[in-house]
Amino acid sequence: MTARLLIVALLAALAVACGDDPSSTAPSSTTSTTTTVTYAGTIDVGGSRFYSFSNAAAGSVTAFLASVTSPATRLPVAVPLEIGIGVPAGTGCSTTTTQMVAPGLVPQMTVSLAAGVFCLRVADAGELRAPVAFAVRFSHP
Amino acid sequence: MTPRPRVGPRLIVSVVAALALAGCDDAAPTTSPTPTSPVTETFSGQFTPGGSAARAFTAAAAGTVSITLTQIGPPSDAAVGLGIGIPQSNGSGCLLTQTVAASASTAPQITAAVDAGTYCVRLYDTGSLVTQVAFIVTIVRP
Repeated sequence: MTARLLIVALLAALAVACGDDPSSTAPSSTTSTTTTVTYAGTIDVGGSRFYSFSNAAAGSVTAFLASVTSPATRLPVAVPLEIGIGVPAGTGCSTTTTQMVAPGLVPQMTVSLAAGVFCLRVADAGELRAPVAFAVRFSHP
Repeated sequence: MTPRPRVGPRLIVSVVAALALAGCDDAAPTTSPTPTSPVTETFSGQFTPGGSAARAFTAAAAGTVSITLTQIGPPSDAAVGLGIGIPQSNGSGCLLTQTVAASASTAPQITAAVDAGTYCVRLYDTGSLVTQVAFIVTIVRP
């Protein structure tokens, strides 16, 4: 092998060695995008509402009840609501995890889910005396 | 014609290997990262009797947000409602999580733990204002 050929071969190897790792740009199961949703609405006494969402990949879903207010005054009402995560069932949401929570701004529920379609449900568990407006912020893969 | 000096293959391999090691090394940052947290923002404006004012801010990381109504008036002892919450998704308002009655102070009237994300501050008349007031609110956030 001549010296020139040896140099060309080694520089070619060097170029390959310093290239971008293809696995860092290709989609993979360990790289995911999180979507954050603000779900707001009103709940009647004894009522519930739900929001369906699709997990693009397996991962954690976090949620917190950010706001419970009077629809008339838009000021906070001191009542807890039940938030839950489950799967759509017919015209409703069949929850597998629920929690009674008061409004806060840090995650109150974290659930590991597979990829697929799920739902987040907000419900009055007997605390309401009048309709309220609510807002839940949640993040999912 | 002068014959070219002979370069041995071992020397070539050594030089290229050294280049490879140097070239593949991660680039060293030229400057140190500047600490960015906590950040202080100022929210100022005016609102009329029966009115309100709101502003969104973003917490870059989970942590604690402190909100202080530092100035309001005239009169300088006016009391208003001060709240923290999350912005409506259409940007049309602030969905409140907690509120307090507040007058001008140097101490935070609201301290709240937050996750990383976008939040909002809202000032509103609780029914006591008789004229337009100007205000300054300080927001300290992650």
